[in-house]
Amino acid sequence: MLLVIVNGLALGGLYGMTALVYNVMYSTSKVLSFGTGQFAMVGGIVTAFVVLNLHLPLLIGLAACLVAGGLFGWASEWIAVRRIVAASDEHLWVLSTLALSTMVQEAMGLWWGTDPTPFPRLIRQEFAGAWDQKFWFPIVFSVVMAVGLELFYRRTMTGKVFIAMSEDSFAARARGVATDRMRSLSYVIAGVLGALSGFAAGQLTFADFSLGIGLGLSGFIALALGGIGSSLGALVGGVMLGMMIAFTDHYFGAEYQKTIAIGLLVLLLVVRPQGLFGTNRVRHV
Amino acid sequence: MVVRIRRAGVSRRRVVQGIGAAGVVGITGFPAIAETRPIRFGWIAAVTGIFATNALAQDYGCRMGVEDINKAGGLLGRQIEIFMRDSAADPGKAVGFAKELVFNQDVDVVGGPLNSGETLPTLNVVAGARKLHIIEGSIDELVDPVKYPLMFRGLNTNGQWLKVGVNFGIDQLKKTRVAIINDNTGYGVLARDAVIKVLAGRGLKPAYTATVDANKTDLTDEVNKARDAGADCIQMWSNATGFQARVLNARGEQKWDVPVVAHPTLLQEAVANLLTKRAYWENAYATGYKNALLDANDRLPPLTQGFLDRHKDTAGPYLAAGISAFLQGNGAPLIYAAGVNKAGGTDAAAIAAALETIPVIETPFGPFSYSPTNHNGYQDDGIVMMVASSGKNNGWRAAQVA
Amino acid sequence: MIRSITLALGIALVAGLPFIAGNLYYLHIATMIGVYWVLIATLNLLVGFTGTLSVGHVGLLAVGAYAFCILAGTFGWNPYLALLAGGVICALLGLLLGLPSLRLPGFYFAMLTLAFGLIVSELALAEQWLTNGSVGLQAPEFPAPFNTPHGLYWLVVGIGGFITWMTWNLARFMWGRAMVALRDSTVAAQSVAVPIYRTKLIVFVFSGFSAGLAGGLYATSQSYITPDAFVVNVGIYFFVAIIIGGRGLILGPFVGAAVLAALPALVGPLAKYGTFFYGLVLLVVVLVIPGGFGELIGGLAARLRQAPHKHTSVVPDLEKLRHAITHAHDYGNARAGVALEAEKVTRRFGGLVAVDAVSLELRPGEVHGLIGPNGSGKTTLLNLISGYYSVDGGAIRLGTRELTGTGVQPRARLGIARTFQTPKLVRALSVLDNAMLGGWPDVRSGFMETAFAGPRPRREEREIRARARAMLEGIGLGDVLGRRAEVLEHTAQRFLEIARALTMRPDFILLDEPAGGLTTAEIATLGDIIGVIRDAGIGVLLVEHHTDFVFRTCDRVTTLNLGRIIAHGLPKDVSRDPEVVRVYLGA
Repeated sequence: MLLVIVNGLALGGLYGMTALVYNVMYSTSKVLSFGTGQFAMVGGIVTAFVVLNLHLPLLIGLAACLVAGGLFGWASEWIAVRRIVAASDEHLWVLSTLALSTMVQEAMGLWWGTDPTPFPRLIRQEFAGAWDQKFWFPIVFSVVMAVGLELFYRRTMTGKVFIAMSEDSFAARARGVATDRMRSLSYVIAGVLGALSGFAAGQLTFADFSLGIGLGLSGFIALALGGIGSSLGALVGGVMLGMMIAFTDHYFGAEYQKTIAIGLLVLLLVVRPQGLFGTNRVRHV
Repeated sequence: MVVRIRRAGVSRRRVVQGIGAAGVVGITGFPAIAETRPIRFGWIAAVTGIFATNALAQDYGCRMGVEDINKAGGLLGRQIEIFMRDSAADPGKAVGFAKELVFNQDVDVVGGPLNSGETLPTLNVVAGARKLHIIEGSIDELVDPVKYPLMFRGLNTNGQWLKVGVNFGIDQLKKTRVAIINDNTGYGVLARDAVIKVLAGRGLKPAYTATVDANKTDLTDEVNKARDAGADCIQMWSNATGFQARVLNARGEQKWDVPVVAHPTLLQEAVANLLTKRAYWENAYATGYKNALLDANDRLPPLTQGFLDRHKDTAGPYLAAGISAFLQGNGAPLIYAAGVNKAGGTDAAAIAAALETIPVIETPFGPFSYSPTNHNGYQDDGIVMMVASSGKNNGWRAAQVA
Repeated sequence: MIRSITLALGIALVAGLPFIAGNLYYLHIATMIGVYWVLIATLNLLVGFTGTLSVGHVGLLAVGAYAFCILAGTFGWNPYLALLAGGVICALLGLLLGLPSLRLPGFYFAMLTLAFGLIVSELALAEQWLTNGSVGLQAPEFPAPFNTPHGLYWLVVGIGGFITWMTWNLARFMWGRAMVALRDSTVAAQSVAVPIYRTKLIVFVFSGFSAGLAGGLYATSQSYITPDAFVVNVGIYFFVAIIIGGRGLILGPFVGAAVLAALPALVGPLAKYGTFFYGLVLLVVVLVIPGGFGELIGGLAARLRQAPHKHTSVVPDLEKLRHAITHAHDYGNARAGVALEAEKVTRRFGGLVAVDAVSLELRPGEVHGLIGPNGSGKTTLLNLISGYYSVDGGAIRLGTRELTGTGVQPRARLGIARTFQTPKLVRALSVLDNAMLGGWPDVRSGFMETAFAGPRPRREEREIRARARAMLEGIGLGDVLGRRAEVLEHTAQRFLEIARALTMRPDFILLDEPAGGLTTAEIATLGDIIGVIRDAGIGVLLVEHHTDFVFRTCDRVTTLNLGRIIAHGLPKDVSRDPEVVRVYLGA
């Protein structure tokens, strides 16, 4: 039973981190990117490539993973978001991020192959049941990431600017904020954090090119559960979803796993669309 | 009579026959060109997409089979030309290509597609065009000599694998408290039900059954539950390397040393690469083919080794999926060749009749024997149990329990 | 004439294709294009027209296919009945998915449909008793004469043609304008009373129905279905087809669908790059020509046809305008004759009180000015009155009728029209179409009635077109009726917005800084137009910074500062009020 709980927490940590990544991009651009789950996919594969194929040390693998994530984040903003946000056409950014996400996934599939491949052990440890690193890395990283982001939002100027932009991007621009640069920066941060989540949970997910879409969906469910914009909500939402999946798996098997997760989403949309920690935001004319 | 297809055996006699046939047709007024043009061999293989690793090897096996025949002078003096189509594991594309091959290219025979999901929707298409069809899908429901009289299976059935695997567990390993762990893909669910049926035939019930998401990251829970249920053996029917590796990892990490009996995928080095420790590959057995068994001196049977020797320059990259997949693809052209040679022409009905009367067709992949009521062909004794970790020289050792 | 010849030729070509196709393979491709078209034609209404992205439509295709095979095959229903039932089941599923999600931002809907697309194949695998698991199901044939490849082709073409006709009708009447307005400017759509949620839901349900039909046809033309056939990536293909061909065009996506269905056959060995390539095409089109090739070519053609645009001032024909307004009102109900009132309304944003217990009464046939410094709450008050914001305290009334809890659309239906600080026009529509949007509150024709082009939608179309045309001619835009709204100059855009508001036959019209960006001469013209509107008995609320203009034009003036009223009364009194002079007008 302990194992089921720890597994649920680990999954929840991964989903929670994905939800946090959604939040970072959403704060500056009001865009929920379809490619959010792909950051973790890229991070995982790059690490596995550097460490297992090139036989370089783990730290270099981590560095490469973060750089790849940052670059991908920067590119997503530059390619798929910047122009579209200027045109303020919601359905177009859904399309453009979906298109970019599909391209990255397919390109990775062509390069890396379609079979999931192993991910390196991060620290020397014999397998230790519920205390194994593969569970605890995502759990610890998710908490650290959430706390770090909250400190960033509250203590740093850049973080405060992100918050300001999330509340009123026009007003922020009017006060001299270079909103384009800030948005770009937020996507780089999102890319780095997303890749880091892929690194932390790599031993659970393996290096798998098809990880992104499903993770993007699970992360979004976590986000919607917790409420957009809330770091605490992202974690709580992630853990709720992870626990639910772990327990339904334990008791009913996996045949209806996705169906149950999506049932939860529908129920949420009906009962509390703004999420547990979300607030109703005013729509401006 | 045993028709052996070997390079040396094919050569002169066939060429002479071919010339003779062309001569007869020439005299009777048929355009000679119709009988000297290459035989058109349609081949649908999903060499991209989720089954790519296996399919690439099967495709290579098929191409080399055709190359062997062509180098030896072709069939009835005619060369074989392959019309290969990559269906990318998409049944919709498979149907499209099947139609293109039979209607547009007017092929003489269709081989493939390489998996059951794609094969099913193509059956009607090929049958409707009255073409010979050699299928490469394994699920038992595909073959129906009444509905599809021109369709033959160039592979063993899934049921044969399962039967051998389950019986091995009961008779050789003497384990009767079976845990079934399978993934939730179509194949996994199908195999689970089939294993339950075979067990029932032996008067047994599974001690534990788990159908798990193919991408589920950690299977410790399932393995523990199997142990708690008192199981003494795991039947693992999944064709996904990652899934198999996760079951073995969980078993190893939980230090629960019960035997695992599995789908041939388990023999692949790719599974071992995904294991936390290579030792977790021990005490695991997979169904395999007689013709990939090593003898006491670690040598493959001559038919298989001959094939490998002929193609040693190019075969390398395709051996990753194991030699079985490689030889599977090789079966289709050889079966077709046997039929054409016996029928003396490319008429589909004549070839079908010929195939039904040839006692045994020996191919590197294994022996085939068809009859008017059985188009499955592959003989049970072609399938043997192998020790997963015993791979060497492209073959494996037989699983023999003392 | 040319159009009907083209149409006849097109129909002859499509119907005669089996005779020129050469072999059954090409006929198969043509049939598959037809099957996909049945789905894409209506998905285009959803994606291309309303801008709502259903990522998992392939899930509906799968449900339709399974429903057909199970009902007609396993249960032995009549195939036509099974096909229809598949459509109905998918329509209901559409309702189920749309009800909770279409109210929320579009991404929720996109994600929910993606999730749906993912679980359909999971369920198809799990529910073996019904779907036969991964082994799949044999698809039944239709009875003769539709059981041959040729017959099936004609059946598909027939259904596809019928669906196309329905979508064409929907696009050319008022529903089409409403849908495009949803996509390009939700705010504008609300202001003319288009029900956002309900329209999206209806369109999604309709497209679900036709996806269900397409599923049944897909099954029978493939002869066999398995869960593997319905992978979510297929959805990308649908989007590419729609977006390449051109959103907002009925036949545009057909080109995309045809090219993309034929492509795999043409570039066989490149199949593995297929999905990557679709993604790339989608991205490039979205970034470079979001309107697709259809819109691009249409735009170029229009540019070639029109003389290069010269700067011309908009010259209204006031007499004509007066006549148009009065005539429009004669056609409708008599005026309510009551005042529009805001009583002690309050609105807070976080800690900031933007509007603080403000009362204001707008009477029919008067121009009421609303002035004040930036941030004094003018536009907020206007948004409260028109319903874009809800009040935190106080009440909004029309005569004795309580409006406080209602939204934008019900108020627009009651005759409260408005314009915006930055004109909210539907960029992709013509000037005439934009003005016609104002006729939406008078539309009584339902969605299906319009799809079948019944007599009522035709009549309404004629009446609204005549009314909008008269308004545009009166306001001075009569010679640019066919031009796309986005190419209009600023002044023309402002006047077009007023014409759209007038086409609503409003009792009240709220103008938010209509003189912004206008030249002095144009401001004078605007004053004349406002005069005509007032004389027709319409109450005008004028939010403005051009104080001279306000004091000249208005019958009464209210001044706000920091969310409170500081002066109220006749222009001459307000303009001399010391407080007003101090905080706003300056010495």
